[in-house]
Amino acid sequence: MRITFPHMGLLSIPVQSMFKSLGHEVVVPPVINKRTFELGSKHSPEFACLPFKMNLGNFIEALELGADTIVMGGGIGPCRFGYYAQVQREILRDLGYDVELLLLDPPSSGTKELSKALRLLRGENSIKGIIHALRLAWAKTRFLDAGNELFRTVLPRVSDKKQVRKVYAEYLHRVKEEEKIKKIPRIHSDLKAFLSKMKVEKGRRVLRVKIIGEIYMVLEPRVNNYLEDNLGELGVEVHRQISMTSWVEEHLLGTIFSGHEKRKKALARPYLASFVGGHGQETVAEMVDAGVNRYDGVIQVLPFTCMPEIVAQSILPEIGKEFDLPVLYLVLDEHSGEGGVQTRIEAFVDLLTRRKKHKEA
Amino acid sequence: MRIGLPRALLYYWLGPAWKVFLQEIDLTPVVSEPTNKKILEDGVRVAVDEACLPVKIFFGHCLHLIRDCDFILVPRISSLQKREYICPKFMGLPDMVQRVLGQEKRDHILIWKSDEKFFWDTPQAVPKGFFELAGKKKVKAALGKAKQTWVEYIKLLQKGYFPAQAEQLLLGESALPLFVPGRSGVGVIGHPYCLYDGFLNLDLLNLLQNGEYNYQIHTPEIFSEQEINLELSDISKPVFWTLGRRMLGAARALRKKGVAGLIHVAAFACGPEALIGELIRRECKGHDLPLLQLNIDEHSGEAGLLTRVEAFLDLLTVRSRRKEGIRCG
Repeated sequence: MRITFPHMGLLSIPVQSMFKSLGHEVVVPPVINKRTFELGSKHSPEFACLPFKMNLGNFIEALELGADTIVMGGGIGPCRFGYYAQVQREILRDLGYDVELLLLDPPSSGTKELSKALRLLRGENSIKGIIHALRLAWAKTRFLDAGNELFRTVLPRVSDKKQVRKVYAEYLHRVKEEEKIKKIPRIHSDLKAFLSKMKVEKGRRVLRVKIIGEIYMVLEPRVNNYLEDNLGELGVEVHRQISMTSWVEEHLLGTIFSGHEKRKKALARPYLASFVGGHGQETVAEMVDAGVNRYDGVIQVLPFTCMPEIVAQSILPEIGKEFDLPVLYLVLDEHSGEGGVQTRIEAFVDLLTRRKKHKEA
Repeated sequence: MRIGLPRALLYYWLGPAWKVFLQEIDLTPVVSEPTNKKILEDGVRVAVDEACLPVKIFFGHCLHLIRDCDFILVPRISSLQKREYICPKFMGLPDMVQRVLGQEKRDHILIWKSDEKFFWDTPQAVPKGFFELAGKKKVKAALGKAKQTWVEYIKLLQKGYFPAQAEQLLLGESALPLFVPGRSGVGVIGHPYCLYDGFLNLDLLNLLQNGEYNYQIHTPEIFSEQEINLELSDISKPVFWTLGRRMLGAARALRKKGVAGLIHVAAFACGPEALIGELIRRECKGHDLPLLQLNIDEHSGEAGLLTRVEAFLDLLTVRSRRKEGIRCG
């Protein structure tokens, strides 16, 4: 069994680690590239959202490298993600790939896919082995997100940005290769120690911008034109509530971490009283949060035709007006040009800078 | 008190029952006129670009109704069936309409809710104001009446009447008989608001039915839930969008019914239809059934649509001739 799975930002690191510790052979799809875009959009329905197309592109490229089993998420909800796998399975079959698709479908969806998937993934592992694999993956997830947050804070402030990027890349590599749970916090403190010694650029006016929107588009830098890195280079401190950690805490460990759900509902209620699938309500909630905490601006990133985000998008202008908070809407698909997006981001940052100067004066 | 009912989205399934409900609690239902250019333009103006055409049209209807109604009834429909959804936009509809109506009028909407259970049997679905106005007993009785109307209405749709005709029949007026024996049939599938809003689909149904084409039209509404589910019993994961499930089931059922071809009308950038459309395409390809997929938005030009439909119908004619030829020879 040669397992593959779709990319989403840094997700490949903990997922790969988990499958490896369970003793499976893992074929990580090539990092999303031009060909992934081409393959994905060629074989997908025209109006499917970009994550669907990218997933499919990942699968095809991994199958070419010899993968024979795909692990994919499922679920039931108004968002289309829950039905991705069904359609992708049909498309791959038509393309002539003989592939096993293991669907991680919650038991409430009425299919028996989950137990089958778990049985196959468990293999010969003992309970202890499984717990170790899960704990290792969870530790990696948490520290990757923590390291990323540190990186986002430091990048806009220091003068030698190249060095920061290099150290951060090394950090990611070390976390990826580490197999002992205990050692991961130490890698993180190394990063912290190094970054805190970096020279801060003097007189730099750092803007605070929050990124909201659909999780895949927010977390995958290759589909959003390296939005966070580019903002960092322009002197913007990027904040976001969306992360792998918060997703796991909210959706898989919701009983322990019930705060996420409560926070979301409390913030969104006056503007969007109902769950609308995907991250629609989160988007509205985080916009309110950005307003309350006086952020300089907000960027909503969503794939073209994303239904939950369109509901949120209809409501954001009013919140923006109420809190005097500028919003940039980035609706992206496979046709989005790099130059066009970059120009819009730069223009937005210019606008925020001028606003800030004006306010301070 | 005048309560506005927008003639858009799921009005085509639920409208007459809502009308009866409002009448039963001594309110005046005001149904907006069929979509026209002004309504569409107003809707497009206030909506975000990315919203689909049916939602924009819904906004247009709301803007027209608010002028002379005290309140507008806006449904928040999460699901019509257990473990199924419609679309996120239906769930956020009241919140979006509030933005569209603006500060002054934003409180002039009544939200009709539904969750997992369908709402004729759940008084929680009814806007709270109605209870204060009419009392619990009267609301419950009105709900019963509404359900009865709805059941009759759905039966009429299953017989093949289109919503407008079915509504006339419910009111005791006569309507034209729909099926003319001997005419060959074409299946037209799509969400109810895409099929029965003549302005939205540039009067497609009329074009097919009348004039030179004279086709008999079969829409998904002629199939009952049981029939649809039976068609889909072999699917490994149930389709969890009510409308999408019905589209796929209807495509299969219509194929078995022996229609000459299928026309699939979808709103441009409709989420579920993007995936379900793909499955329908495969279904038709696998069974050699001609399929025309139309995506409609506010920029759709009549000439372009007409040309595509005509070309498709020509193809159907040629196919049927060829088949006859084979049979004769």
